Amino acid sequence: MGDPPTRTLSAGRLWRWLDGWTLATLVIAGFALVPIAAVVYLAFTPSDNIWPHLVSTVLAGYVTTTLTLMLGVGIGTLIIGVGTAWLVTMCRFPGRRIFEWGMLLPMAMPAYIIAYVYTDILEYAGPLQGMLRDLFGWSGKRDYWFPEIRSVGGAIAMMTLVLYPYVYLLSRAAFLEQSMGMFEASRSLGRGPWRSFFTVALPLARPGIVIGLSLVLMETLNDFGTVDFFAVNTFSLGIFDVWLNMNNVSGAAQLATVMLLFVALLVFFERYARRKQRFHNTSSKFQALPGFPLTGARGLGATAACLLPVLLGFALPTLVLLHYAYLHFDPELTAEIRGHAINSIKLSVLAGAMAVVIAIIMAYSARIKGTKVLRAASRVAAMGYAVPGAVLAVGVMIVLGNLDNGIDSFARTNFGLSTGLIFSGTIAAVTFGYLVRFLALSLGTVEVGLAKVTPSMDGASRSLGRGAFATMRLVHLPLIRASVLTAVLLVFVDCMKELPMTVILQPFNFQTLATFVHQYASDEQLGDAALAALSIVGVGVVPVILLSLTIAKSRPGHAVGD
Amino acid sequence: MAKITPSFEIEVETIDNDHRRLVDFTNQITAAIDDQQYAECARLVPDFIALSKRHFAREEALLDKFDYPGIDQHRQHHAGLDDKMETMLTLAGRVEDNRLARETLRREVFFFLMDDVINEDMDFKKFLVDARSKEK
Amino acid sequence: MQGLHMVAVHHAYGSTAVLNNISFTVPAGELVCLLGPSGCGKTTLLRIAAGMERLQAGSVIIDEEVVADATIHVPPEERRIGYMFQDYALFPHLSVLDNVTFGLFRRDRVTAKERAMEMLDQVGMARHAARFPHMLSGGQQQRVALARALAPEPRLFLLDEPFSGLDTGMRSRVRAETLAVLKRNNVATLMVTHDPQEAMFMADRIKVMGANGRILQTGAPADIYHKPVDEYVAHLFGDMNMFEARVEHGQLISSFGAIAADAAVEGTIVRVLIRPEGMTLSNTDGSNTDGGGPQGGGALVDILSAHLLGNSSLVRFRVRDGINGGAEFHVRVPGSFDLTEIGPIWARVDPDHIFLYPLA
Repeated sequence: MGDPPTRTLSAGRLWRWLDGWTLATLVIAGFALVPIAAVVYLAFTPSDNIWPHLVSTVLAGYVTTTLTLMLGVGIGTLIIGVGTAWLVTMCRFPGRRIFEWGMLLPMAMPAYIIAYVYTDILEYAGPLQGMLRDLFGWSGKRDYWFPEIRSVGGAIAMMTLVLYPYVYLLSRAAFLEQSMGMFEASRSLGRGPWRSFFTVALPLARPGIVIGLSLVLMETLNDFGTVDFFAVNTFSLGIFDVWLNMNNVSGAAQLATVMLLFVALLVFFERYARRKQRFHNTSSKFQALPGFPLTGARGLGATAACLLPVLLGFALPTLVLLHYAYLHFDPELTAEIRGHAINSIKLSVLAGAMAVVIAIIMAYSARIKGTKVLRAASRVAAMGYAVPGAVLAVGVMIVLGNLDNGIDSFARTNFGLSTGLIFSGTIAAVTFGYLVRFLALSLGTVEVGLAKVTPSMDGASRSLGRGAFATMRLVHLPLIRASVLTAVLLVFVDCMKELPMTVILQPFNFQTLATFVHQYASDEQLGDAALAALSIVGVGVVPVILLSLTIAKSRPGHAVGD
Repeated sequence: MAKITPSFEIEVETIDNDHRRLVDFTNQITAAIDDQQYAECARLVPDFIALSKRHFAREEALLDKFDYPGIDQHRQHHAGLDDKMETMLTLAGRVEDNRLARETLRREVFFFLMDDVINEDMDFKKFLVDARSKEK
Repeated sequence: MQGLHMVAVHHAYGSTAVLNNISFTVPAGELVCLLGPSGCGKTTLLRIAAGMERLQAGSVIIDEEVVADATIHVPPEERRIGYMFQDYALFPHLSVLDNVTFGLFRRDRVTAKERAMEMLDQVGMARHAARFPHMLSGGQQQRVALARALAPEPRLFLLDEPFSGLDTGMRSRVRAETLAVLKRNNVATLMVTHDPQEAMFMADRIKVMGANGRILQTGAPADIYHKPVDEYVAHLFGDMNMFEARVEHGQLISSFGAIAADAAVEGTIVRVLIRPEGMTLSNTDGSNTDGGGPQGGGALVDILSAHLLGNSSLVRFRVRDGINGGAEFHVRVPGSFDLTEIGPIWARVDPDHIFLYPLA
């Protein structure tokens, strides 16, 4: 029947079998931890120590550039994210219902793609500057000033445009959960709407905003495509430079370790905020939001404020890509792109399916055992979401490279044959990297799904004679089907968009849509890659739709006929 | 069939022996009812009650000897069983011609044995075992 | 020994003990009820019996098999038990029939289906075998859950507040039906409830649990009702009249005349509890009928209010004079009570319904 052999066993043996759940979870957590541990270990035991060299030359530059980027993106996303969230939740103006979910659209756009598009438009040879030169009769660069898109400022602008939805999403949720009474009390005590916003609403929403901001900054650290294209020397770029150009893995690991300190700080802020958030949201009662009506010029202003980020972060680049895809349509190239797309899909489906299986094992183990060890293991396994792709890529390479060498030398001495690269040269490496980085997504989704299944379901099945595994198969899996599919989908989409790990870990002669776009754009051939870029954006829209549906379903406190 | 398995032992010999004899009585009473030996049953119940009373007295003396702090409670519990024992005696007189009396007696004797005699003594098991090991 | 035996069970969450040296027996074919306030650990006890909670100390024995002690933990799926949850826990993705056959996987398909239909027939749900749980009313869901839990012929049946989800009208009917099905299947049953009426109706034996995780009293429903061991247990079965009184010469000093009292409490002040049905009202002082002189006469009272509750009435009154003068009492009298009846009214106490407890 496929049930585990538990029924007829004595209690003692069954107990040992149940421990298999714990064991599986610990092994998974171990796998997730190994690449990170390997990076740190190598950083402290370098074979060819270039640390002093790095410190004296590039390190300061990496730190300041990375910090500048984080600061800029942080401020930018805060202003756009919190501002639009406030407008959309608290005010009424033309188009508000559409902006409620529309503000999320830029999430579908990977930063590197928007960077390619804007560079194409805004660089010296691009259409905008050309038009300006024609218009004003300038003949060359010396005749006028125009902001350089390939700069830290440009990178800040690009990332801000696509990352602000994180802040928007979490501050919107935080504003919705606030008791309107408090805000109105403040206003009735003589404080104006602006002062009330800054003194009451904003502080109360702070935990949610901090969580959103931490996620934004993690993504900023993770970015490789944009900074590579703009030649902005952040840590991500530095790691790749030291590793691939200076051919020094230990040096890369050392930079990665410093980067991990940034990550640790961000994770700390996020966790701290989440704890405070739980504390804040004691009143779960939603109240009708007043919806300050904004009419006339103010209403139009609000509409424009919400429209602009969506326009710049999603609509315009999409239109440009569509235009290019049309102009550069080429059946031969399309066939090639289809091949890359199939690669992307295979890889992402594989990672998505594995991530969800692992997530189910972990979440279900934690459910039936409920021990502290298992909960901690889950947290460790989910840590990868905060670790930048560049760091994970180094870690995966170290681990699999050593493993391959070990197997190879074992085979040589024992069987007299060379196995070559079993893992590091294959899609196993990329998949491993994906799993470590995106496990948190599937785990979170599955956990939420499982939490909705009441514990009495477990009890009912177990008391009717079914073991833990049969119960999972017959009761939980059918009940959490939707969550499982969502989890697969979320991981799938993020793998499709992923760039830094894919670039480094992909096998020779193997390209995905993302690496193809990256390569062509780097060669100033964005037009030819437009179709591939559009495909990535198209896939990225899927989770946005899912999120929009969730928002539409849970719109508390709003009048129906609003 | 009732049986004193290790889980039910108080680990004090005199008490466990009493319990065993009371269990035997219970089994005999049950068997007598099942085999329609009503006269036998009516004869057994008074002996069962008498033994229970002697057992309670022995137990109280033992608890007194070791200064069990819950002695008053336990004594009260024993005293509170008088009514139940009376009821069982009354029922025993009616088993011959009353089905309901037989069923009730059967149930009462078993519950009395398990709940009021054996399970209740679990309260002082740990105390007595500890006290006696100190003595040795 | 057949049935369930829990011996010296201790349980604590962190440093808070929820079960304190609990021992009891559920013989085969009998229904034992754990009655106690929420949070007294009674559900924990049920979950320990089922194996859903790990036993910390003591032992659990089902039909002479030790299923849990210091070294053994038999998981729920191997205990051959039936468990009925407060929320019924029907599997929403399975039809009624599939829910009931869920535990019959050790039989072949045909006999499993036969057995399931037989159980559904017993609870009167055979007609709805093809339906899904969300299409059923609360009472119907309860019956399906009952059939599902009993279908595999468990050695022990556990019920966790099985009727609390039903509205009052439905509850008494479902209760009676459930009891009939349980008795027919002759299974050792342990039920948990906080409703004294429910416990009285269902149980062969009631165990009253206190908030301290101890069993306060064990007995047949009548024992507990008529001889509650303490004030707490007495109060469980409804509102009581309560006053304090001194015992002198073997009698309570009260406005209601002589009430015999235990010699053990001689000379002390005791708390007196009287059930509402333990008092009677009459328009004579009773001195002629029982010949007890002024002492047997009861107290002259003023009626304050009367509420008709169907076949009885709840009447509030105030004692006019004597040591309890000014105190208010309530009494349940059969039929309706005519407030317009003129003339003095005396209240008397039925010694069988009076409980004396030492002051704490």
